[in-house]
Amino acid sequence: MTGTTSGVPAMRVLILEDEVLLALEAAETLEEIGAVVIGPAYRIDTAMALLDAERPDAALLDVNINGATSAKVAQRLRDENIPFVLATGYANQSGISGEAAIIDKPYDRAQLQAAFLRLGAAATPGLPTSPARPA
Amino acid sequence: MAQGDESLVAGDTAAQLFALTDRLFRATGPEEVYEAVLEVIGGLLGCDRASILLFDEAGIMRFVAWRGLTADYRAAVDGHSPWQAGTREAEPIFVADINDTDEPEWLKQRIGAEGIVGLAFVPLFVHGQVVGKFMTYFPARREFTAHDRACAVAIARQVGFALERYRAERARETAELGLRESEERFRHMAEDAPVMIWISDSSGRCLHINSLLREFWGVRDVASFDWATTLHPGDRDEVARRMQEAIGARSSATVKGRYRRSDGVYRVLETVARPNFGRHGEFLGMIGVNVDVTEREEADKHKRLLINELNHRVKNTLAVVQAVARQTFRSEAPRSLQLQAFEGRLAALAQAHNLLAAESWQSASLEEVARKSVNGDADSRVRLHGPHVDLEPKQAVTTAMALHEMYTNAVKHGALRDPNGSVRFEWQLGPGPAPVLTMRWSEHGPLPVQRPSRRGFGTTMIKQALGAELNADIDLDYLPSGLICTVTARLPARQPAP
Repeated sequence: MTGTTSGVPAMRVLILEDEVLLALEAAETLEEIGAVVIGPAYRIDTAMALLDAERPDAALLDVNINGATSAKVAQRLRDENIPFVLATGYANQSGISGEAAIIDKPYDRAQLQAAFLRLGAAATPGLPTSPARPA
Repeated sequence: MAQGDESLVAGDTAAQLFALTDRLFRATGPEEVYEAVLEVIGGLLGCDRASILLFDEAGIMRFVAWRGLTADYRAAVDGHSPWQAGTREAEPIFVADINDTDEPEWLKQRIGAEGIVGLAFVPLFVHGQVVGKFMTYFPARREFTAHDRACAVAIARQVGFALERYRAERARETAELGLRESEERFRHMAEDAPVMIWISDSSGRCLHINSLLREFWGVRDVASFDWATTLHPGDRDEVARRMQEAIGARSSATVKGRYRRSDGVYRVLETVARPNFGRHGEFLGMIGVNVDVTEREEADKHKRLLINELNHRVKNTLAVVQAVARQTFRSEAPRSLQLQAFEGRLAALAQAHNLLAAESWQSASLEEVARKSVNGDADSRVRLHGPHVDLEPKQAVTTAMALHEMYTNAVKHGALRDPNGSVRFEWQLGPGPAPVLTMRWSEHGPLPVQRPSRRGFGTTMIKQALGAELNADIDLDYLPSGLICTVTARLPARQPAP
């Protein structure tokens, strides 16, 4: 079943964001639309470890993590067919490709929620997405 | 003179002038011209003394060839001339007897002393201007006949033509020499210029490569050298294509590429090439200059990196400010208190940035961060104690903001509500490469502590943000005497600078 426009039922979202306050905000923002947050991870190795432990339905990646790019994580997500949204402070010069959406920093909550609602709407029954809650 | 004699004389004159013409034609230099002329003058005019004089560069008449004149005589009359150099109006002067003239007495005496009585001055012309004269000298009075005069003029003209020829040749030689020297100078200049210069044919093959460029490429034999093989494989097709386009269009081109230097290191060369056309407009190939712009490229790249990094920080900071604003203004406190809190939080953020900027955004000391965050310059009630600890930039910012929240809480709700209240902020650093940092904030005041909102920004900042940033356990204990906050941070091993 696909998600509804009113929420992203139990979509499990990995957050990689090195700015703690922003990560907490993003987590809260996604929880408001029904997502379950994995992390947030503040470092690339933490994000990789979380991916080893479980498979999220989607991810939110900050491009610049402590001076490095999150390309390694993006590659892993692409390999595992996990859609991801990139958050970046400047035009995407990271060389990362394959993202489902790019949102510019600073972004507002509605933008972030809209990006993941679209991901939820695009999810197909074949994907190992958690089933929608009963309407 | 009998009719037969006259024709004999005429025939003899013609033969001698013909012989002179022939010798002048064959002469290989001015000296041979003078020699021939002096001989013919003697034969034609019946004298055994004669001379040729030319104006020198200063316009003074000087002996260049002579017969039968003493050195003393030549020295005495040197420079004497009836005409100015370059004049166009000059007629031969024939003097039957020097004593009949108005020449100065000293000159007459000197001429007489040389045994000369009759003499002739015959101007020599080149391009219509007098360049000198020839002279004939006779030991006795000499009545010059029309034949003499005609012969003199004919000889003078022949000499003039010969001189004209040599002067033209000399001028051409001088010009050629000048051109050769100029070419040589330019060749040296191009060869030794502190830039790399090349000339190619119309197919792009190098014909000439100057020394700096030969050195760069390590070229020994230009003929067998192919510059395209030194291009980085990633640039080869593009640079070759651009150069071929310029050659095809016979137009200028500016192309950058990485070229392998003779030591194997790739350097970025910027080539500015222009089409090279021959005298008649035919396309000969290209002329180019290569400039090593490797350092410039690296500086540009570094600058772009810095700008990107700055952009990233600015945007992140704006996002943080946005988060702080959202959390501050959603509290239930009156608007004026919200504003005050927001300003205080922005100031704490700015102070942490100041400390980091002073250390090139590498690190900040915990003690400095704490002093700024607890208003340590104005309020001495917070005592700081601990060893030197360097915090990474984001750790410093988060710690500053969390300590600002603790201090503000203490002033509003805790021990610092009372002037006699005090706070100890102490920290210790464990051993090892990933040491445990323990921080303890303990308030002591006479007034009872008011527990702040669980959902407030301060609590979020201390419990969640600081906890996450420092990988720390946070313990908040609200005792009657004041708050005790213990932070046990397992600092991640420092990441190498990007």
